Amino acid sequence: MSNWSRRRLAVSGRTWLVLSLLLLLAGGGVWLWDDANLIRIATNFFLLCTLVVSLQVFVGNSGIVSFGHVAFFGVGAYTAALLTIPPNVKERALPMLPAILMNLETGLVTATLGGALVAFLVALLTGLALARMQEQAMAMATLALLVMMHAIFSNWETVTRGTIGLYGIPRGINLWVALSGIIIIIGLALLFKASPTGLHLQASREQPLAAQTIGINLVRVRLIGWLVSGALMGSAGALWAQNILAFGPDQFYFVETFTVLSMLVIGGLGSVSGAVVGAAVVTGVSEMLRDLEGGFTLGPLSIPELPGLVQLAVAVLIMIILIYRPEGLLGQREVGGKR
Amino acid sequence: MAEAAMSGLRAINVSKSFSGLQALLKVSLTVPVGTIWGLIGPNGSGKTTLLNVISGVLPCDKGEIWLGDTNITGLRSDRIARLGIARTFQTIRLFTHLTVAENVEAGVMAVETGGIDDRVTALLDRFDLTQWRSTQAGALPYGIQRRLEIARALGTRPKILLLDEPAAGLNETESEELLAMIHDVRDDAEYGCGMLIIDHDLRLIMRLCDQIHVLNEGRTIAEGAPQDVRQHPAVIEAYLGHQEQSLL
Repeated sequence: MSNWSRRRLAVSGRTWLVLSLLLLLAGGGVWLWDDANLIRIATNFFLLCTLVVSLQVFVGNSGIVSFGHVAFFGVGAYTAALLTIPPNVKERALPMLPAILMNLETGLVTATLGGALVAFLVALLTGLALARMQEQAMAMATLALLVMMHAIFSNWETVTRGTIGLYGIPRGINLWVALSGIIIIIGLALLFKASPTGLHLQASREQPLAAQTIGINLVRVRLIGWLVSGALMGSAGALWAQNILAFGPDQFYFVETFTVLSMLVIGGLGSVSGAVVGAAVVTGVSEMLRDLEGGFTLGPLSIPELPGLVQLAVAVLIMIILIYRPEGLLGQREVGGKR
Repeated sequence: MAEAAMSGLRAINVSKSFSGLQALLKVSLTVPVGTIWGLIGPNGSGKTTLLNVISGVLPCDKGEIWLGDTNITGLRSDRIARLGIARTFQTIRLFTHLTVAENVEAGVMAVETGGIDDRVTALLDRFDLTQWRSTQAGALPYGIQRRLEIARALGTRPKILLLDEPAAGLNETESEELLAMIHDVRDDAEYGCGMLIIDHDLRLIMRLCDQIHVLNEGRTIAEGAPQDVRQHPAVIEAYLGHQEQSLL
């Protein structure tokens, strides 16, 4: 770490402390309130934050939109499921599963690290090709990655149970575990942002040609950003799986991609704090509108069921934000002081 | 001088064409470390193409480029930068959303293995940028942006610095300040390097440079000291289209 900037590390450290404190206050407040529904919402919010912050590591620093990161989320989730589902459940649900996987039953930490590792390997396999592409081509290739991984999740029945999905994952997540997860992931994201590779990736986002002419190897920095982001996304998927307990391949496709990207755009692509704020805003809007989606009465008016209301509202919110704050609510700013 | 030339930049018979249009034809040029060379010529004469080829932004079709005893022909631009050739651009290309300090840091971190903060602080002091340290580069006044681009390039400790129209868009006072700064950099114990400068301000080039290389339609038409070049018939012809006593 000899060529790190102490000043950048100090700035990132300050941001991490402030964000951690704010999340800790939110988590503590919810816990004291002791309302099961609120605890569920807060836990889901922290887990969503892990996804958005993990995505921000690549998209925010490189400026290249990735439609494919949800695939890493899926890889992490499936890995955690295969590592944690008890062998007797696996024997019923996945009778053809290789013996080495059939007999595995690990705890939360191993499953989460396993999710990160397998996602890292998938990111390495894909990143070696993607990082060599031009910016727009790379963005399109990430879309291909999403479709490709969805096809694997849906058809590799021996391991994923195809479109039916997996069940029987033991609950490893509570409010405090989810909170710890997001605090660790924010710390890692900020550490990457403060690193020489992080700064060089940001420079390549601003001016790829000028970045190269001061000695920055674009392929190298983009690949490292892709790997770190993919591994974090995998760990986020592993945490999520241990909260949702059962899932199928459609939960790692376009709707989830739209949700996570919209949170990032709303909060501000260039900021880890923005990722958290974006997740908070979209969670807030979704929770407020979720009850209305099933239909409601307003005085003499009876409004029928409104499926898709939440996604419609989020889409409108994105458009409003893009018109009035094209860089998102926080833009490039981080909470906790100037750079 | 011969030793400085050997440790500096040598372009040997460099040719480059775009879809049949000959942009450079057998151009040879030597820039020793510690000297300032001007590269002039009418619009479309191949000046920026030569800078792009030297810095690895474009590959050359024929010829060789050497930095000291290293053949850098065909290397990627980031590799060339780490070997010791930095550049600025005709249109300023700063990392606009990064701060002034981060712009310089990006250059320093690409080559240094320690003491990053101290090096950045020294560079900001050296180029009077300390007061702008935390300002986003895109929000700087134009003249300061030009200065920052040079400071960022020098952060990579180049042996050779390529400056593409560094005075473009500057007023007279800013141009004078830039001229003084470039002179200082050449003689600086820490940042001293050889420089190859393109500019359309011929008065500035004549005052600034030790030697001048003149291109026209991709070919070298003259090379020498400023006083000789300004009276060279081919140079006068290329710029004015007819015989005059002197270019300036």
